[in-house]
Amino acid sequence: MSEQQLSVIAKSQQRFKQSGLWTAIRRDMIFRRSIFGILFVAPAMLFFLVFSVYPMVNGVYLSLTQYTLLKPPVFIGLDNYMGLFSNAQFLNGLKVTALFVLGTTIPKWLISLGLALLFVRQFWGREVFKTLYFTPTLLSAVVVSLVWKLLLHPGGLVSVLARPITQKPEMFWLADAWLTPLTLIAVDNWAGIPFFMIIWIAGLVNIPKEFYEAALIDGAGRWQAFWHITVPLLRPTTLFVIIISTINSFQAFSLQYVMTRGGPSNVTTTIALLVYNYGFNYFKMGEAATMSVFMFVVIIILTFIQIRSIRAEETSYT
Amino acid sequence: MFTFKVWQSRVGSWRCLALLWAIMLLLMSCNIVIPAPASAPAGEGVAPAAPAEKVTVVYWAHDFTPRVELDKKYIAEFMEANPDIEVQYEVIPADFDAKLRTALAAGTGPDLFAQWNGDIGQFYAEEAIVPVDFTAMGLNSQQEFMDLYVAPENTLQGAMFEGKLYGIPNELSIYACYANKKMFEEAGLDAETDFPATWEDMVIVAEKLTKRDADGKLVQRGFDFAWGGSVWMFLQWGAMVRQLGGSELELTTPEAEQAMQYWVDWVHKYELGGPAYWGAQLDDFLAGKVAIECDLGSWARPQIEEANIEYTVKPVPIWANAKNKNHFDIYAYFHMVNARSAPEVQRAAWKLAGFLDSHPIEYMVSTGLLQARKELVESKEYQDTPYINVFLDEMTVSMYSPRIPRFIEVADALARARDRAVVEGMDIKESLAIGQQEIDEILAEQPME
Repeated sequence: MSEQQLSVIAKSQQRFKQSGLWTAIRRDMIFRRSIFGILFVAPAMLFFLVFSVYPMVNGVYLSLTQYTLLKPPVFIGLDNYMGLFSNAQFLNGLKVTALFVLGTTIPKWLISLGLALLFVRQFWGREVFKTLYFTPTLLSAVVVSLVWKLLLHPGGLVSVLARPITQKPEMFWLADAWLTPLTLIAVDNWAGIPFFMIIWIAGLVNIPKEFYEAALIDGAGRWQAFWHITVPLLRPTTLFVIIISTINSFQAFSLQYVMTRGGPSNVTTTIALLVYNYGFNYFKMGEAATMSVFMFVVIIILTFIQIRSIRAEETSYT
Repeated sequence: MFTFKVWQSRVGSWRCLALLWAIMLLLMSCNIVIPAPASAPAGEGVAPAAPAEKVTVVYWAHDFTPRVELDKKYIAEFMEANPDIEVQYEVIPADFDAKLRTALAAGTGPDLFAQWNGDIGQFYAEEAIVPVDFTAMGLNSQQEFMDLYVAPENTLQGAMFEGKLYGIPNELSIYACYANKKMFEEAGLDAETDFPATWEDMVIVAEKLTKRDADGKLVQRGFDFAWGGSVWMFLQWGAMVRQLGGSELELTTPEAEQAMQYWVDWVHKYELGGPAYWGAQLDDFLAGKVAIECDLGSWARPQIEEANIEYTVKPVPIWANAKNKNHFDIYAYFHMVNARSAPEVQRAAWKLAGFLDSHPIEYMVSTGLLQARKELVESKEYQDTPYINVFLDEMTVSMYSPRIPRFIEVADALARARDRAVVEGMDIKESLAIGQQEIDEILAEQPME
C-alpha cells in the first residue's frame, strides 16, 4: 500500500476512534464484561445483604426502640444508649469481656507463634505431633465445653493432675469467683491456639529461605534473623491473627453458656451472653440490640487501630 | 448497538449497588412496621369463618417422648370427632422457650401452645394470650372447670390473673424428695422412718449420708440444693422463705436472711455440697452421687425405676418454726392461646386444649405427668401408682412462684444474691440488699398487675 493509502486508513481509524460509534462499541464491550461480573457476584451480594447487612441495620433500628418481642417495637430514640453506662450488668459484662479478651489474645498470639516456629523445623514425628496439636480446632465449641466441664469437676482429672501444686483433693475450677474466669481463659486458649499455629506456619513457609541464607552469610544470629527478617515479613499474617483472635474473643459465648451460664456471680457473663439473656430471657430486645451495636463499634475501632498500627501493606519482599 | 447509560462506568456499578441497598431497605421497612400475624388479629373486624369452613389450629409442644405419642393419638381422635378443625401438631425438639418467643415476635407463633408458668406473667402483661373460653370446651363457666380440679385455689393459681384463668394445666408438677434406700441402709438409717421432716433435721441426716474418700474428696452427698438454673431460686429458696412467712421478692427480711444463711452454711459450715458439685437434675441421683434429691417431680419415677434404684418419696422438709406448711413451689405447663389468632381459631384451640387435658389417667399412666383432676384422684390407677399421692398432697398446700413479668430476670437477680453470699463470701445482709435493689428496679420497669 502507498503511504497515502496508509495515511488515509490511519486517519479513518483515528476518526472512527474519536467517533461516538467507537465510544459506543467500547462502552458496550465494557458493559458486557461488567454485567457478567455483576451477575456472578449478585447472588453472593444478595445473600450478604439479606443475611448480614439487613440484620445489622435492623439491629441498629431495634437499639432505638423498646421491644419486648411480644408487641411491636416502640421508638424511644437514644434512651437505651443513655441508660447503658448506668446498667450494672452491662458494666460488669464489659469488665468480664475485657479480661477475657486480654487473656485469650496475647497468649494465643505468642504461644501459637512459638509452636509454629517449632513446627516449621524438621524433626522426627513432626507431622504426627502437628496433627495432634491441631485436633482441638476440629471440635465444636459445645463439645469442647462439655468435655472440659467433666474434666474440671472438683474431684475430676484436672484436680488430680494439679494436686501436686494445689495440695488439695478438690478444686472448684468452675465455682470460684476468681478461678473460674481464668479456667475459661485457659480452655479457650487450648481450643484456639492450634488454629492460629497453622496460620503462622502458612506465613512462615512463605518467607523465602534466601533471606535467611543471606543473613547467615552476613553473620546475623538466630535472634537477629527472627527480629529483622521473620517479624517484618510476617506482618500480613500478624495482622490476620491479631484481628481474628480479637474479634473471636469479643464474641465469646459458647464456652460461657455451656460451662457456667455466666456464673458464678456473673464473673463469666460476657457481653455476648448478656445480649442473649436480655434478648431472649428478659424480653428486652431493644437493650440487647443496643449492647450489640456498642460492641460492634468497639470492635470496629479496635480493628482499625490494629490495622493502622501494623501497617501490613508496607510489607514487601522486593 | 445497545447500551445502558446507567452501566457505563464505575458510577454505574455503584448505582447498581445502591439499587440493591434500596431493595433491602424496602424489605427491612416492611418488617419494621408491624410483623404480619399468622392469622388475622382477633377482634379487628375480621368476619368469623362460616361454620362449614375448616379451621386450622397450629399447636406447639415441647419434646417429651411419652407425652408426644399420647398427644398424637388424642389429636387424631379430636380431628375425627371435629371434622371442621384441622390440627397441625409440632413438637419443638430443643430450646422451646426461645423458639416460642421469637415466633410470637415474628407473628408466626402457634395458635395453641403449652408453656410453663415462668413466662405466663410476661405473656399476660403483654396481652399475648387470651382468657380461657370454657364454653368452647362444653362447660358453662370457669367455676365449673375449677370444680373438676383438686384444690383449684392452689393447683390452678399459676394461670389466674384478676380472677380469670389464662391457661389450663397440661402438666402439673411439684418437687418431692426421692431417697435412695440402699444409701440410707449403708448409713444405718431407714429411709421410711428416718427421713427428715424439717430443714434442721436435714443437716443431721445429710451428714450421716455424706461420704468422703481417704483424700477428703466428696464422693457421696447426703442431700444438695439445685445450684444450676436460676429458676430454682424461686422453686426452692423462695418456697423456704415463704415457709417462714416471708416473700422471695422481699429480701431484706429476717425470713430471707434465715433461708440464705442455711444455703451458705450448707456449703461452708457443714460442707455438704455446693455449686461446685452441681451436675444436672436427676443425673446425680441416678449415678448414685446423692442420697436425697429434692428437685424431681413425679415424671422422674419411670427413669429411677428403670435404673433399678430402690427408692422412696417423701415430702420436702419444712422449717421447725414454719408459719406456712407449703413445700417447694408448684410449676406447670399450661395450654395457652395466642391473642393474635382469629376468634374462630381461638375457640377451636380451646376446644382442643380441653379435649387433650381431659385424659388425666392415661397421661399419668403413660408419662408420669399429673393433671390434678378429681377423676384422676378417684381412679384405681392413681391409687395403684406408688408415691403419686405425695406429689398431689404437696400441691394442695403449696403455691406457684410469683406470676410476674421478667420472671427469669428476677430469678437471675436472686441467683446473684446467692452467689455473692455463697461463692464470694459477701455478708448475707449486704448481698440481699443489693439483690433487693435489683429486683425493685426490674419490677418497676414493668409493674405487676
